Amino acid sequence: MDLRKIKTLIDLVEQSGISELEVKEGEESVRISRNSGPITQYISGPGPAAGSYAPPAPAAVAAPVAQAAPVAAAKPEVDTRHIVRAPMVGTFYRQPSPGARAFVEIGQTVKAGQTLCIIEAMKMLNQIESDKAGVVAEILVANENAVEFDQPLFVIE
Amino acid sequence: MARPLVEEDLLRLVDALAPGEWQSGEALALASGLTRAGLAKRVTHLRDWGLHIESKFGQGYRLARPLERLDADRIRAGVTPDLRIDVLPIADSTNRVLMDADPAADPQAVIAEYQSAGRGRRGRDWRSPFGANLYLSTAWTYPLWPHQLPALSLAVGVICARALHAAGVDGVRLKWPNDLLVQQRKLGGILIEQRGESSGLCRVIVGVGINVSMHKSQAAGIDQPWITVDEAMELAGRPPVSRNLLAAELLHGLHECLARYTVKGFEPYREEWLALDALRGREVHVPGDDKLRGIGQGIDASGAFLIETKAGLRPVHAGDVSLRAV
Repeated sequence: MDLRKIKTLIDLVEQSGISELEVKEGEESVRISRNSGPITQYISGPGPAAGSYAPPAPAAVAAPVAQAAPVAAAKPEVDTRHIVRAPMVGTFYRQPSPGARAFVEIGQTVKAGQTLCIIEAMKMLNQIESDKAGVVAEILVANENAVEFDQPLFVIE
Repeated sequence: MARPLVEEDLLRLVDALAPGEWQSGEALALASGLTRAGLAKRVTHLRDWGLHIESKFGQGYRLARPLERLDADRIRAGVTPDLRIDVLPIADSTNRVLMDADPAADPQAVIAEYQSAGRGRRGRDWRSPFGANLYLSTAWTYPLWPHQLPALSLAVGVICARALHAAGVDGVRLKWPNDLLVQQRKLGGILIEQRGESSGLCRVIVGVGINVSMHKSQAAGIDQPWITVDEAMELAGRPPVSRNLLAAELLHGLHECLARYTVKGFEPYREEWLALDALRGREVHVPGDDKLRGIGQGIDASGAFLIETKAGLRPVHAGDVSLRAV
């Protein structure tokens, strides 16, 4: 699979708002996950079974696997990075309702008070607002995943 | 020229039909200031609102059941004056109306005869035919996030069961976290939406829908067993409950609960919730998670549902709990 094709797949994931995409072509497979910014995992030949991929720790540097092509270059930790954390245990939703557009995408400018996501806990739907204006640099949790109290959700720069 | 369909005309016609007795088209048209053709058109429109209007050749029109219209004065008389209450004939959804309302006017409540876009959890539809049920919401702003905020969801369930009991409806049980059941069938649901920064103001909107006299012809699309207050009263051999009285009980209870939650949290409601638990000792599972299967064992101090699984006691914080099909 050539780099151009991978880039196209990444763009596709970016635009669609889905959290993960895996494409197999013969012996090769590519999985693109948005768990920590776009990270491309490129496995050549027989690789680990699908599903064995654990999302990297939040805000961790994207570690290349095999001949990985890290597309989103890891950004150095600087003071302009602000982390929005989960105020409660629950289920993380990126859209107001299934099928609707995501509240925010990576690269989008947000105002303070703008809704970033919903966390559902005990059937209470909590709209989590940004407490800072800036640009969404990273979305650290995949849609509909469980989140723990204080877990980092977004990086706003 | 045909007059446009004005809401006031439509509501006047609803009032004329409210007693539930047969009335000739002529008499109804006269009472509502309409022509016969105008009447027919408006009857069609009211049916779109979900009103169950019967028509019969030689008899005219009637509502299948008498309708007690919402009465702002009667409702307010039963609720603390600290709560501002708006009674609307039509809303897209009462939660939505409050979402767009000025938080400076909190605490405030909205109750509607009809919801054109009634909502349940995560984009699910909530059937909201005109006058058949109760659809109401209350908004509250806290200066800081209350401790144990998610468990408010369970406290509100307790409050609704209490309000129903006070209005004469017995046998209400709660399916975690807060579905209102009578005889294992759904009597009502609660949708709580909250917004705020994780370290600042917290605005909570509590929406409650209670089935009161909905007829099965008005319930198209409901995909689970349901029951109405009318049916529950009939089964208990008791007279029907006033919608206005029940609305007042619910709004008053919600106000009290929201006011004290920030001080007392969930603890004052926990024992009562456990006593109302519809799933205690029953086989349950969380769809989509095979490990979360077992016997319902109540809730913990945080309000999480406890399942006794093969691997031990497991808490559930989010997701649906279903009765396992036997």
